[in-house]
Formats: sequence, C-alpha cells, structure tokens
Amino acid sequence: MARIRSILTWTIVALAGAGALGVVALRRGESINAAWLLVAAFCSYAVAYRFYSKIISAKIFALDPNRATPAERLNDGRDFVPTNRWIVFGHHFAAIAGPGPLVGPTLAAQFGYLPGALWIIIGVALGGAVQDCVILCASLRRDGKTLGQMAKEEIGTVAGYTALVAVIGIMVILIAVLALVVVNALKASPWGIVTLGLTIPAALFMGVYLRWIRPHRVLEASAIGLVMLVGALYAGRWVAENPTLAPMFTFDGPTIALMVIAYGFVAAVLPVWLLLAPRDYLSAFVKIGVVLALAVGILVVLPPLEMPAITRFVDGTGPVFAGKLFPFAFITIACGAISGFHALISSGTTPKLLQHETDARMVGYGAMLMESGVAIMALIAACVLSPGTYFAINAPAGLLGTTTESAAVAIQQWGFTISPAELDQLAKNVGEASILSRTGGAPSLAVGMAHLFSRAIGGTSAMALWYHFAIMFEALFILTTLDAGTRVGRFMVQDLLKHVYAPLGRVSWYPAVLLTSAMVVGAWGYFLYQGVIDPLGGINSLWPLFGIANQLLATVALCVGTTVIIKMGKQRYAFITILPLCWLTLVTMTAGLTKLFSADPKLGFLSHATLIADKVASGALPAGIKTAADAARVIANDRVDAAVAAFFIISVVVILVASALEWWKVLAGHKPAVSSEVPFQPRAAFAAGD
Amino acid sequence: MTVRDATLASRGAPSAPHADGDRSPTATPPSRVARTLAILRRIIGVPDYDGYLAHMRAHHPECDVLSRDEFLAERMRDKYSKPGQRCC
Repeated sequence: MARIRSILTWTIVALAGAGALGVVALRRGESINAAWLLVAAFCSYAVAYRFYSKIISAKIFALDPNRATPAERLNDGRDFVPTNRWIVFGHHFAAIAGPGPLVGPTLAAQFGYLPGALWIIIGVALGGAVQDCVILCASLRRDGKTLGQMAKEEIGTVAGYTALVAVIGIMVILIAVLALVVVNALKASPWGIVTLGLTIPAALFMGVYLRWIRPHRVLEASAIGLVMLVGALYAGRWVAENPTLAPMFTFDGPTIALMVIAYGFVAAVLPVWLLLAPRDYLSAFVKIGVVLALAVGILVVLPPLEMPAITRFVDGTGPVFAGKLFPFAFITIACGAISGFHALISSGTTPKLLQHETDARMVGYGAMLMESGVAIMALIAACVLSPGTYFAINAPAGLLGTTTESAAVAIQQWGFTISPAELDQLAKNVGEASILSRTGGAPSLAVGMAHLFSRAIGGTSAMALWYHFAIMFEALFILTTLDAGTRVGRFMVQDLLKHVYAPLGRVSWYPAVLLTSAMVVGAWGYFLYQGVIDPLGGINSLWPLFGIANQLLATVALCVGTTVIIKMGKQRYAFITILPLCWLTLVTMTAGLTKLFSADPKLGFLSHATLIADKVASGALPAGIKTAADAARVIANDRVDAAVAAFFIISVVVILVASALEWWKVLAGHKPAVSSEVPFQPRAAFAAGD
Repeated sequence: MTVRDATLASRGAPSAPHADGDRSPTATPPSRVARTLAILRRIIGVPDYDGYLAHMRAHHPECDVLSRDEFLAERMRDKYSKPGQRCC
C-alpha cells in the first residue's frame, strides 16, 4: 500500500515538474508567471534528490548508518563533533551560500530567463549537487581530508600542487570580482556608502560587546547588531537627503576601490574577534533571513516574468558581458548550478560534524539543491524587471552614454522600449541619482527585490528603503567573504613562503603578517582597480575569469571524485562524476580559449590589446581612453588577464591528464584498485544498542 | 545558564549518555525557545564550549580543560586560517 502511494506521489511530482518545465520552455510571446519556474525547479529537485542522489548514497558509497563517522571516532569536542543533521545542514548551507548564486543568474538574464533556468535546474541535479555529495562522502570516509590532500593522495603530487596554486589564484580573482560588484553598487551613492560604512562600527561594537561587556552572548550581540543595521539604513537616507552632507559622501569608482583595498588590508590584520567573527555571525543571519524573505516575497506576489524567454543576445552581442550562449551562460551562472568552491567546504568542516554517514546525502546533495533554489529566485528577481530597466542598470556606460536620454536610445536599438522619464522615476523611487550602468548584478537584483518586497509591504514609498536594504545585505556578506578570503589567502601564502625563509611562515610574527597580507590584498586590489577603470566595465573581463576559475576547481573536484569511485571498484557508476566532468571541461576550455584567442576584441584579451596598440600606433586614442599612458595600462591589463586565463587552462589540462593516467592504470590492471578509505568501524552507540 | 546548557541537549551526540548526567546542576529540561536559540547559535557557527567541556569530562577527565576564552580563541584561529569555511 505504502509502495503504491509512493509510486503515485512521485509520478505526480514528476509530471508536475515536467509540465511546468514544458510551460517554461515552450511558452512564447506572452509573459509567464514566476510560479511556473518555481514549480519546475522544486519538482525537479525533489525527483533528483529521491532518485539520482540515491545512486551516490546507496550504489557508490553504500552509506551505512551503523558505520562510525570521523566525528564519532575522532571526537575531540573541537574540530570533530557529532552534530544533529539539521544543524549541519544549516551550517553547511550558510557556508556555501554566498553572493555568487545571486549575481551569476542576474548577469545571465541577458540571454533571457530560459537558458539560465534550465542550466540552474539541470546543472545542479547532474553536476553541482553530485560534486558536493561525492566529495563530502569521499572526505567522510577519509577522516575529513581536504580536497587538496585527496587530490595529492588519489591522483598524484603534481595534481595536488596544481590544485593548491589554483586555489590561491581563484581566491584572488573571486575577491576582486566581488569587490568590484560592491564598488559598482556604491559609486555615486551616498546612501549606500554611509549604510555600508556604518556596518563596520556596528560589527566592531559587537566584537567589543562580546569580549568585554557581555562575553559570549552571541545572539544578544547579533540582535543588537541587526538593530544597528536598520539604524545604518536610516542614517544613510538621512545623509543622502541632506544637501550639505550628501556631496561629502559621494565618491567615484576608483576612490571607493581604494577604500575597499585599504579596508581589506586593515581587516585582514585585525584580530578576528574584533571585526571578522562578529560580522560573520551578522551576515549569516542576514543571509538566511533574506533568502527566506525572497522566497516569501516571490510566493506572495507571484510576479510575471517581464524578460523574454530568450533574447537576441544569445548570438554574443550582449551588452552585459560579451560572448555567446555557449559557453558563457554556463560560465556566468557558476555557483547556482555547480561551484568548485563547495568542494572545499564539503571537504572542510562539514565531514567532521556528521553524526551518521547517511546524513551526507541530505547535507551534501540537499544543501546544494537549496542553493540552486536561491539562484532560481535571483533569476526571477532579475526577470521581473522590464528588459529596458534591466539593460539600463547592467549595460556599461560605454554603450549607454551617461544620460537617461542616450540610454533610452541605446536600449531602443536593442529592441526594448523604456522612456527617459521612466528611468528618472525609477532612480527617484530607489533613492539614487542614477541607476544607469550600475553593472555587476547586485544593483539590478536589489531593484528586483525592492520591486517584489515593496509590492508585498510598503508600496512605492518603501522602495528606496528596500533597495538599500538589499544593497547593504549583498555588500555585507561580500565584505565578509573579502576579509575571510584575504586572511585564508595570507595563511596559504605564508605556508608557501616558509620554504623560502622560515620566519615568514610564523603566523604571529607581525612583519610576516603585514607582508603577506599586503601581497594578497595587492593581488586582488590590482584586479579590482583595473576592473574599476576599465572602459568596458570590468565585469566583462573579470566575471568570466572568475567563472572559469570556479569551474576549474569543480573539474579538480570531479576528477578526485571519479578517481575515488574507480579505486573503489565502482567504475560502473563513475558516469555520475564523468558526465558533469566532460561538460565542464568542454565549457571551461571553450570559454578559456575564447577569452584568450578570440579575434573579437570585446571577447578576446589578446585581440583587445592588439586593437588598442594599433590605434595608439596610428595616432588616435580609442574611445574611453584619455592618454597614451592609460592605453599602455589597458594593454598591460589585457595581457595579465590573458596570462591568468592561460594559467587556468593549463591547470585543467594538467589535472585531467594526471587523472586520466591514474584511471587507465587502475582500469587496465597496472595498479591495484585499492580504496584509501578508513576501514569500517561500527558505531559505538549502535554496538551498545542505540 | 539554561540557554547555554541547551546547546548540549540539542547536540544529540553519541557521547551524550556519559555526559548528560553530570552536566546540568539544575537538571530541568531546556525550554523550546532555549533549544531553538541553541540550534540557531550552532548554525551561525558559534563554537560549542559546553559540548567540549562535556566531552573532556567524559573522555579525558585527567586532562586540564581550556577556559571558555581560550577555547573560543583557538576555534576562531582555526576557523579563519584555512579554506573550506566560506564560499562565493
């Protein structure tokens, strides 16, 4: 009876999902409701979880509730702590959810909602969630080893070191691009900058409170911090409306970039309890709160999607970023479908917390499905805007010009209509002087969220508050990623430099701390600054680099996963990681080679450098570049970007070749298929009759 | 103190049978609110000092334990010194 009911239920879920997906994919010419997208996504997730993730948990790893986990065997009350699975799920989700799945789908909306939606749904089920779950299971069976350690032990030393260096490179690009998103959201916005600026003393106050006033009362301090954030929001409005103060807090992009760089350096050398830890608590709350609010907002309003299913920009002429649908839609969405970074978390804290082996399916596969749901909601928030509004916010000034009139004309030429008056009115509604060319995804997501939230609560008059709330929330956790990332980068650099000069590895020696922090901040600061002054809008060059880097890390993770599966003798099921691995290799290689060698200067770094050099040689300066020295700098930047892309491509090849060799050795019988798993031990609690 | 004690009760660790008896002097079961707050605290990543204390008492009664401040400082150093804590 139960069996029949189960079959019936799953048939209904599958049919509902397929039907909704059909509507999303096939309906043309009239706008569809966001509800179709939600139903399609969530039914697909349910089916994927129930059936596809079972291959990993039951067939490959045969997760066993009676097998002791590292948390039980190595319980030290510190690192290894058996923890309730819902707590681990929440903790893991809070760790993997960042600004990536919000920004990526927003940018990819330039192709219309359909390509993004399909890749987010299919990519997560067959790629992202598989990667997270397989790496979590592999690490769980190896006492919580990290991805780098597993790459070294399973594939070989070369792959291990390549992965290590790649992680540092990816960190640098990640921080730079996220910082660029913040800069673009805050330039010429006194409200935004005052609000975000005030979150820093709020976090410092929490740090002091937790240390001296009421030690260890984290929730109490967080509650105070949240109230202070609301205060910061209103203080920002007060400054923006004050004719004397507003100009004092209006800064251009390069100035804000320098501020962010200075902030990054100071934050990285301050003690963690003072700034980073309290703000981390705060941003975890805000993150979970906003995800819930976004879900409720979409469900209450059930908005129609104004963006067409597919736009003409699939041909590669899009203003938001250059490049055709393939491979750039996949590179751009990155985190919402598959993110290599998650492999670091799945092989970091999480495997050391799981109480039962079987929890790995829910935490590894399930949390990634939820992250993908966030990406779908971000896509919806971007697509509820009219296409004219969306492109006005996301296209660079080089294409739109600097007035609402010139923007309206440019957008008209792309086939969408919006009047200058509408753009002025929208800017006024969200409390900004202008919303034109606020590239980077965060502002258009904030406008979309403000649009949704204000329809649910407060009406148009509340739109400006909602907009700046959304900007604050995105910037808050980008800054947290920024200083946590800088700090981690510093430790990794110190770890490498100690081989050169031993004292440089000492984490409490101030000269070493200052030097290595400056190196890391200098590295991402360089990319940030070049992005800010880039006449094409730095997102165009940096976001694809970030996407390629992130997918490269996913390639490493899937190589490790495949090797582990083959060495377990489960090659019959190795398709589960090989399938996404093949696709990602195709995507990263195509994108990387295009960014390097494309003859289109909007796309190829090298051809852009050549174009500028030719123009300078012929005596004319290209548009947006004022002096010959600027031109020389643009050319140098292009070459650095090209070198970074080349480095990522070579890393992919090195790791793929090393892995393929290892697979061949094992499959051809030249090397015994020996799994490096820690042998089975029964759970103590089970043995005692739990 | 009941709020903090709840952290342990919600852990449901296999070592709990050893630990629970000698832990809470008041021995009243934590309220639902306290349990929720404890879960919230763990989700946002607050280190679990009471859990550590219970573990040390149960398994290493002969060892000296870290003070709450030392424990938190050690956990934070560990947390922010390696990748695998945060994401894009």
